Amino acid sequence: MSSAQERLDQLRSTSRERWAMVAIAIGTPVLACVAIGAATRFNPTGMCVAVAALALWAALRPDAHIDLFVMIAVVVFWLARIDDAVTPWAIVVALALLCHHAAMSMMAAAPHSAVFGADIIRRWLWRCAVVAAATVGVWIMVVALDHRHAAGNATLTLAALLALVVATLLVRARSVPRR
Amino acid sequence: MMISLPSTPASPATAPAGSGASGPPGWRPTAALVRCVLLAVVMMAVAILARRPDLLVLAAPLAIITGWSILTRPRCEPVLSHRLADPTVREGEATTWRGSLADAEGVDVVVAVMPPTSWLRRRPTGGVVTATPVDGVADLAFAVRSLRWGQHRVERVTVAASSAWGSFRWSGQTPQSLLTGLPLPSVFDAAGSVRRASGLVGLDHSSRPGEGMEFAGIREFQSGDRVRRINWPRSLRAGSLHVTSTWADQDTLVMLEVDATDDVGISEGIDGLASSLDLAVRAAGAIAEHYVRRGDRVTLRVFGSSPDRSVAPASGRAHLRRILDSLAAIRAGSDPRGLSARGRLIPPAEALVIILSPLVSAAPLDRAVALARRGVTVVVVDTLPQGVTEDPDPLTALAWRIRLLERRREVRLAQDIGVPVVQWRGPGSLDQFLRDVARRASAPRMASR
Repeated sequence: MSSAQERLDQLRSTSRERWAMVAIAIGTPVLACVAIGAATRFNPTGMCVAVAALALWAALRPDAHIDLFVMIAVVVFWLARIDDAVTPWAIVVALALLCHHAAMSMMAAAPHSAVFGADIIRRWLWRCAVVAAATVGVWIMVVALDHRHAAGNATLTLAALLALVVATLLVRARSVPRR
Repeated sequence: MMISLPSTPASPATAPAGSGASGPPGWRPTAALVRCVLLAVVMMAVAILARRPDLLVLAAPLAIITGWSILTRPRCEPVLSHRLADPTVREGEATTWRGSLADAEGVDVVVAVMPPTSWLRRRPTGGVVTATPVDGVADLAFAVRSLRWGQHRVERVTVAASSAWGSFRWSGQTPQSLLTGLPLPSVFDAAGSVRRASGLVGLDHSSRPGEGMEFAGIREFQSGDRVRRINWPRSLRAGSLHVTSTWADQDTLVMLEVDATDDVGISEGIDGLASSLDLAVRAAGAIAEHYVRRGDRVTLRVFGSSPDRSVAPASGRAHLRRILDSLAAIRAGSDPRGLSARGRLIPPAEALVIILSPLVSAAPLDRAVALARRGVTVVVVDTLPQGVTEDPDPLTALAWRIRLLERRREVRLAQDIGVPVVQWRGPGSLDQFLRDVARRASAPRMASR
């Protein structure tokens, strides 16, 4: 059987849930770029096309590391365009990244023809809602801290970086299997 | 039978997308977790160093997912077991492959992938099922339908379990399972009976009296007669003891010979076109079932298939199952010696030999003629399917036409010698032949031995 025929058969057997997840995986980074464009009154068409193409490639190989570049592209675009640290558009972009990550993780967990039951989808939606609520909480905290106009503190910065390093090492120790 | 398996790494070809195919078994972090950790750490570091608290908001979901995944990471190794609900089915029937993943604490989603297998149809048709563990056990099930007789291998099923957010994955494979599809016998019935029997268990009665069920007459009591055979009304009237005599119940030895040297035609399974071997196997199953139910002894010989799965003569339901198992194990052309391998076996003269063959070569007819000359009752059932000569290649079609002309001549010669060749048409296919045999049974015969 030819490769083209195999791909056609694969497309035919793709479940509706999978198509929905592909749409989310491609649409959410584009939505993030549109949000960044709306926040800065910048036309993000070129960026949207590039991110959509990258996201499509990532959706075809959900368990590869291609998706990392999609998210890096969105974050770099944010860093390059946004100067306002407390803009509410940050919530939109953060939630878009959350949905994108969740869709990609779910796609990587099963083949293209897998049909997810309603209980599985409900569980994932509930988790996303919890994380979204926590993200909004982080944004409120950032806004509150920003209103205090606190001066920079080298000790605090160093402590934060150290905490980050310790957390990273902890995560690594708990995730990589022992040999 | 439940079989516990050690987990094995998944094959990339069959595994769900990107399962940890390489490396040792166990829970392994996925690309999703790597992505989360990397982006969260870098974004938070940049947020701290570049004084961009807005990046903390963007990193927040990824950092929370990372923490969530680490806290809910499964701690123990799942145990995968599987079984086929019924390892033997009739062709066209379905059974269920059941898998179970125990010790699945912390598992979010379990996915099983069954690769396609020829002559087996899976349901769901995509070959993928998903499940959620309940009380630490996830149950998986595939319906598997056998489309054709034969021994089919249910391919290795890859099972992958994911933790919350798909951050850790475990995968394992089950070994292959053997599913035997017994031939679904064609509908067959025979009105005629063969009265050349020697056994004492069948439905046919012999020409001599003996122990049996069929009434033969009433005669005077002789020494050795059973008391329960005494006919008391007649004895009272006659003034001396009389007994009811019966015809002896006798069986027939039916010898089925299946020619599996070639499989001609297209086989589309139980729902489509039948090849010559399909017809032969289903017809042999039908004939065996018919005679075994009558109490006759049936034996099976298969030519052209290796290993030899011949079945000795016997009767009964267990014997019918042995015959069907042997038919299911036929592999066309696996024994290149064909009829010469076991063709020298000579059946007893009282046997009824039924040769099922597409008659593509002359060997089956030669054997039938040789048996007939020895006084054995033999019939050849032609199992060549219709339309086999229709080939898009004109040379092949021409070759078929030439061969069929030769075949027609060979069949005519065999019939002239006294070997009937009948086309398999299901019920009544052998009626005319059996009536002729019954008629000839009472006539004197000459046989060369």
